[in-house]
Amino acid sequence: MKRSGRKQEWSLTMFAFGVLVFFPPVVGLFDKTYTVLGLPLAYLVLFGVWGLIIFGIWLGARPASAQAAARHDKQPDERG
Amino acid sequence: MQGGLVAIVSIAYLCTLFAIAYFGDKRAEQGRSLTQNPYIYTLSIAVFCTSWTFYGSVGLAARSGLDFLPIYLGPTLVFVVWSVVWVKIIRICKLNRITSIADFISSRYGKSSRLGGLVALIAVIGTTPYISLQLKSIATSFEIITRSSGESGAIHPVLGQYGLDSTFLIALALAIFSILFGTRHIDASEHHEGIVAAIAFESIVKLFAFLAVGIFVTFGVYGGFADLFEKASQADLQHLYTINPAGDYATWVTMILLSMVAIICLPRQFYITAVENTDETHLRTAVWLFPLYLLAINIFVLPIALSGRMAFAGADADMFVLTVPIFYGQGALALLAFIGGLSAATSMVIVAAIALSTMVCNNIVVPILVNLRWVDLGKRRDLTGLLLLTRRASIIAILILGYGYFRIASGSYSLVTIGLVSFVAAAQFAPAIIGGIFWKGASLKGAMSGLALGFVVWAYTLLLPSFAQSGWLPISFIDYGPLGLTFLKPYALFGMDGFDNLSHALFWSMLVNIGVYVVVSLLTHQSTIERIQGAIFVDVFMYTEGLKDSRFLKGTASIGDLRDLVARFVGEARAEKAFQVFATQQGVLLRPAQAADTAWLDRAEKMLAGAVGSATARVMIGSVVKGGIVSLDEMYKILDETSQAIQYSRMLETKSRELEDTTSKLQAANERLKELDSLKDDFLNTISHELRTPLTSIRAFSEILSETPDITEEETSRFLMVIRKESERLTRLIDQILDLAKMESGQMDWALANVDSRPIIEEAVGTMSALMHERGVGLKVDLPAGMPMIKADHDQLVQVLVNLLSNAVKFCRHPGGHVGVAARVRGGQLRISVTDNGEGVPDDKKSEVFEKFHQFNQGTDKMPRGTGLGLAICRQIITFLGGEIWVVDNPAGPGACFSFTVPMARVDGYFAVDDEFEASPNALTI
Repeated sequence: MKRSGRKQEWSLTMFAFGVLVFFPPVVGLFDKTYTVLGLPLAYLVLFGVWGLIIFGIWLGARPASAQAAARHDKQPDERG
Repeated sequence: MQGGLVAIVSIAYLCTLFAIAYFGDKRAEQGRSLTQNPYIYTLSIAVFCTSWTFYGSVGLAARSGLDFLPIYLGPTLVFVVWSVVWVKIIRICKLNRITSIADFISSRYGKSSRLGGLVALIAVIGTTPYISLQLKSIATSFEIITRSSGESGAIHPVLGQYGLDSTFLIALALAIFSILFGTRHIDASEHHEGIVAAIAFESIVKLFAFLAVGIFVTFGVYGGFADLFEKASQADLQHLYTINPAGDYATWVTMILLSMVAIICLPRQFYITAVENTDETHLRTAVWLFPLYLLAINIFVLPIALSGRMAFAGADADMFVLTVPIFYGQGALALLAFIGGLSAATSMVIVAAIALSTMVCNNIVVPILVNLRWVDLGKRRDLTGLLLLTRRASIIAILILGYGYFRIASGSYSLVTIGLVSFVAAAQFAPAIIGGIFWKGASLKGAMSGLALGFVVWAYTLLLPSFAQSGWLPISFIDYGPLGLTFLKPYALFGMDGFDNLSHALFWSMLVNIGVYVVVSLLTHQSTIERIQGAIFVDVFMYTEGLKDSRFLKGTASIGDLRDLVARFVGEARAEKAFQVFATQQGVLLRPAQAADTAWLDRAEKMLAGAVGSATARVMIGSVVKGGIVSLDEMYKILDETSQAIQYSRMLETKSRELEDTTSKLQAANERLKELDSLKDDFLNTISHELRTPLTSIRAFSEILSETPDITEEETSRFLMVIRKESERLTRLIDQILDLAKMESGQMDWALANVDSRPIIEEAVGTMSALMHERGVGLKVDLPAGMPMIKADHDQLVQVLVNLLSNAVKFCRHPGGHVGVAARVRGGQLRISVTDNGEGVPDDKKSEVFEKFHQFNQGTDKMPRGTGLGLAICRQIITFLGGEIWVVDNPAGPGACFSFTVPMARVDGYFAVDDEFEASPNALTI
C-alpha cells in the first residue's frame, strides 16, 4: 500500500481538529446543561463532531483510484 | 427468568462460537478464507468493546454523565492518524514476523529476550484485572438475570447446587475455546482465522444487543430522544447531560490520552490489529468503520443510563442494560442483552488469553528453556508439542489468575475502575512503542528501565491500593501510607492530591517511565544490533518501499539443517511445505545438502520467529549454523573493524609515501655522503702524496748533505737551494690547503669592499713581473682607460690573479713564452682574462683543472709544477665573490686563456663605471 504525503497532511489536520474540539478549553464551550433541538448540547456536539471526523477519515482513506475517479467525475472532492 | 434457560442459551451461544470458529478454520484450510475481508477485520478490532463498554459505560453515564466518551474518542483520534501509526506498526510486524507486543518491543530493542520477558510479565499482570472484570460482569449479569425470576432475590448460580461456581465454569469454557482455536498449530504468524471469525461474530452480537436495548428504551419506553431528554430534565437529571460543567477536565483529558495509548498498547488490541492483519489495505476500511462502530455502540449509552436513573433509585447502575428491560418486563430483550454482554466479555477474554499465552510461551518460557542446560532444547526431536503445551498451560494459568483477582479484588470496584487500572498498565508500553518507531536513538537500557520503573509506580499507585481496598492489605496503607509515611500515600504520592486516582497514577507512572526512558537512552550507548533494529523499525517504509535488502545473516548451515530446525518447532509437514514454497518462489530446486545462503537463513529465522519469538529464533539459528554464523553484532563489529582497518591503511599509505620520500632523500644524501667520503679519501690520498713529495726531496737532499763528507761546495749550495725551494713549496702547499679548507668550511674571513680594480691587477702583475722577467716570459697587460670599481676582497683577488699568472708562467717556459692580461666590462661585470701561449689545456681536462689536486703534467720532467690547489682556490674565491671562472683555448694561437668575472660595485643603483669607459686600450708591455 502506497502512502502519499497529502493523506498524511489530511490525517494530521483531522487529528488537530479532533484535539481542538475534544480538549479544553473548546470542550467547555458546549459543556452545558441545556438542550438544543431536544438533545443535550454536549451530546449533540460531541457525537456530531465525532461523525464528522469519521467522515473525514473515510475521505482520506479511500484508495487513490477511487479518489481519482471521484475527481474525474467532477464530484466535490475536499482533498485529493 | 429461569436459571436453566439462561444456562442453556449461554451454552448454545458458546457452541455457536465453537461452530463459527471451526467453520472459519476449515474454510481457511481449504483456501476460501472467510476473514480475508476488511469488514471481518474491522469487527475483530471491535474486541476493544468489552463488557466494560457494554455494562460499564452505562454505569458511568448514570453516575457522571458524558464521562464515558473519552474511552472511545481517544481510539478515534488514533485511527485518524492511522497512516502515520498503524500502517507503520503493521508493516514492521509483517516485515519482522512479530507475534505479540512483547515480541515487537523486544525486537525493536535489539531482540532482547529480557525485555521481551519483562513486557510479557507486565502484560500478564496488567491484563489480569481486565480479565477479572469480564468474569465479574458475566457473574453479575448471570446473577441479575436469574434473580429476576422473582424467587425472593436468592442467588441461583445454575450449578451452584452442585458446589460449582458458574463464573469459574465460564472461565473454563473460555480456556477450552482459546486452546482449541488459538493453539491448534504453532506458527503464530499464520493467522487464527477461526478465532477472528468468532470474534467478528461476537462484535455483531454485542452491537445488535446493545442497539436493541437502546432502541427499545428510546422509542419503546419513551417517544424518541427528545421525549426521553425532556423527561430526564423533569426528573432533574440535567447534570448527566454534561462532562463536567464545573470546568474541571483533568479526568476527561487523562481518559482521552489513556484510551489513545490503550488502543495501541493493550496486548489484545495490538494482537488483533497488527498481528492478525492479513492485508494492509483492510486498514482503509477499518480506520473509518471501527470509529463508526464505536459511535454506534455509544449513541444509546446516555439514553439507557437516563432511563435507568428514572426507573430505579440506587440500583447497580453498571447493570442498567440488563435491569431496564427486566424492569419493563421484556424478558427476551433482557436475555438478548445478557448474551450481548456475554459476547463482549468472552471475546475480550479469548483474544487476551491467546495474545498473552503467545507472549508467555515465546518471551518467558522458551527463553528460560533455551538457557537451561538440562532441558537441552537443541537435541529434542520435536518441540512442537512442548510449545503447544506451554501455550495451553499459559492460557489456563492466565484465566485462573483472572479468576483469582476477581475473587479477591473486584468486589469493591466498579467495572470502569478495574478497566482503567489495566489501561494504565498497558500505557506503560507506549513510550517504548511510540518512541521505538519514531526515535532511532532509543536504547534497550532506556526502554528496560523506563518500563520497569513505570510498572512499579503503576503497581504502587493502582494495583496495591486495589488489594488494600479488598482487605488483602491493611486499609491504612491507603489512608496513611506504608508504615505511616504519609508522603508515600499511594493515592497522593508526595502530597499530590486534588486529582482522581487514575490521573494521579498516570501522571506519576508516565513521568517516571518517559523520563527514565529518554534520559537513560541518551546516556547509554546502543549496541550494534539495537542500532540496526532501530533503523529497521524507524525506516520501515524505506526498507519495504525502497526495497532495501534486510538480509544480514550468512553462514555455513545446509538447507536441510534449517528445515530440521524449523520442523522441530512448527512440525515436519508444515516446515517441508514452507521450504518447498520458498524454493519455488526463489525459482530453485529444494536441495537439502546445499549450503543455505542468506535468503534461506533469513526465511528460516522468520519462520522460527513466528513460533518462538524473534529473540529465541536468532539463538536457535545461531545454534545450527556451525561456526560460520555471522551475527548482526559480529557483522557490525567486522564492519567497524574493516572501516577502521581501511582508515588505518589510508594512514599507513600516507605514512609510507612520506617514508618513501624520506628514504629517497636519505638515499640521495647517502649517495652524496659516499661521494663526499670517497672525495675525502681521494683528498687525503692526494694531499699526503703532495706533502710527501717535497718532504721526500728535503729528506733525500738533507741525507746526502749529512752523509756525504766529500761533497763539493757547489753541490752543497745547489742541494740547499733545492731544500729551500721544496720547503717553500711545502709551506705554500700547507697554506693553500688551510686556505681551501677554510673557504670550503665557510670559516674564511672575507674583507668584502668596493675596491678599484686597476691597482689589484697592477699589484698582481707587479708581484709576478720579476719571476716572468727571470724566466724570460713576455707580459702584455691590456686594461681599459676607466677601470671600474668592483665589489671584492682585495687580497683574495690578487691571490687569484697571482695563481693564474704563475700557472701561465709555468706553462710558458719555452722561448718566446708570452702571457697577456686583459680586462673588459660587460653587463655589469668586470671580466679579466689571463692568456698564455704555452701548452694549453686539452678539451677533456678543461672542466677538471679547477678541481683540487688536479694536475696534468705534460712537462717532460714529469715533476709536479704546482700544488694542484691554485685553480681550486681561484674557483672558490671567484664563486664566493659572485663571479665565474673558466678556461678556453687561446684565441690567438696555442695556449690557454683563463677568464673570470667579478661583479662591479653598485653606487646608488648605478655602476661606478659604464661600458662607455671601455675606451682606448692602454697597453703595457714589460
